[in-house]
Amino acid sequence: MAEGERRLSLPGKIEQVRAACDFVVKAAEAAGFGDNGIFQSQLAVEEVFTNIVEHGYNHDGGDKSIEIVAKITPDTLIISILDEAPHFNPLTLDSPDPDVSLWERKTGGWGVYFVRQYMDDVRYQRTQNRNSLILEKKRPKTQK
Amino acid sequence: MMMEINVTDPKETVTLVEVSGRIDSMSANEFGSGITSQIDVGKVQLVLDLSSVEYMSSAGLREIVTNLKRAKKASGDLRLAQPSQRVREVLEMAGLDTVFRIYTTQDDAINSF
Repeated sequence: MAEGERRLSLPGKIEQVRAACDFVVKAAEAAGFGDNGIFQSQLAVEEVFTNIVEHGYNHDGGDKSIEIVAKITPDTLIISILDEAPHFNPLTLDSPDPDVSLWERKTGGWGVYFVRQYMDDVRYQRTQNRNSLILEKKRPKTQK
Repeated sequence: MMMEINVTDPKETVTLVEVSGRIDSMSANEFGSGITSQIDVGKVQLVLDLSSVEYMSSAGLREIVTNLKRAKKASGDLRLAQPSQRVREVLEMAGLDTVFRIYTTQDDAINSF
C-alpha cells in the first residue's frame, strides 16, 4: 500500500476548497478507504478548510495559505490542516445540539461537529505560528 | 460534478426545486438563493428534491435550515423529497430528519400540501 506522506499548499481562498477535497479523496483512496470513508474524509477536510477561510482568514486569506498534509501509516490516515490565522483552537467551541427544535437551532458549529463524528481522533496544535488541526481515521482492515 | 437547480410548479400552490450535483461551501450560496428567490416571490409551499445530490456538507444544511425558517415565517413549508443516502446521513447526524418533513417520493411530497 501507498504508505508515506503527501503535501499540498493552497491559497487561503474558498475557490480552492475543491482542490483540497480532490487531494484528500486521492489520499483516502490510496489508504484503501471505500466510498464511505472517502466521503467522510473529504467532508471533514471541506469543513475545516471552509472554517479557516471564513473565520480565520475572514473570507479571504490574501497571501496566506492553507497546507494539507496526508500521511498514511499502517493503521491510520492522518490529515493535518495548517493555517496562518491567529491562534484559535476550534475544538474549544461548544458543540451544537442535534436534538433542539428548529427555532432554537444554532446556525454555526456544525462543521466541527461533523469532523468529530467522521474522524476517529481530532487534535489541535499551535506550532511555528500556525494552527494545525490533525484528523485521524483508522484505515479499513481489509485493504483493496 | 457541478450543481444544477431546476424549478417548476407542478401545482398552482406547490413549487418543486430539484437539485443535482455537489452542494459544498463553493455552491451553497447559489443553492440557498435558488430557494430563497422562490419564497421571496410568494412561493412558500416548496418541495426540495435531493435525490440527485451526491454530496452535501454543513454549508448546504445551513441553507436548507435558513430557508425552512423563512418559508415557515411566511406560513409555508419546505419539505424534502427522496434525499440520497449521503444527504440523509448528514441530515440525521445534524438531527434534521426530525425537523424537516421528508418523503420517499416526489409525488408524496407534492401531494402533502
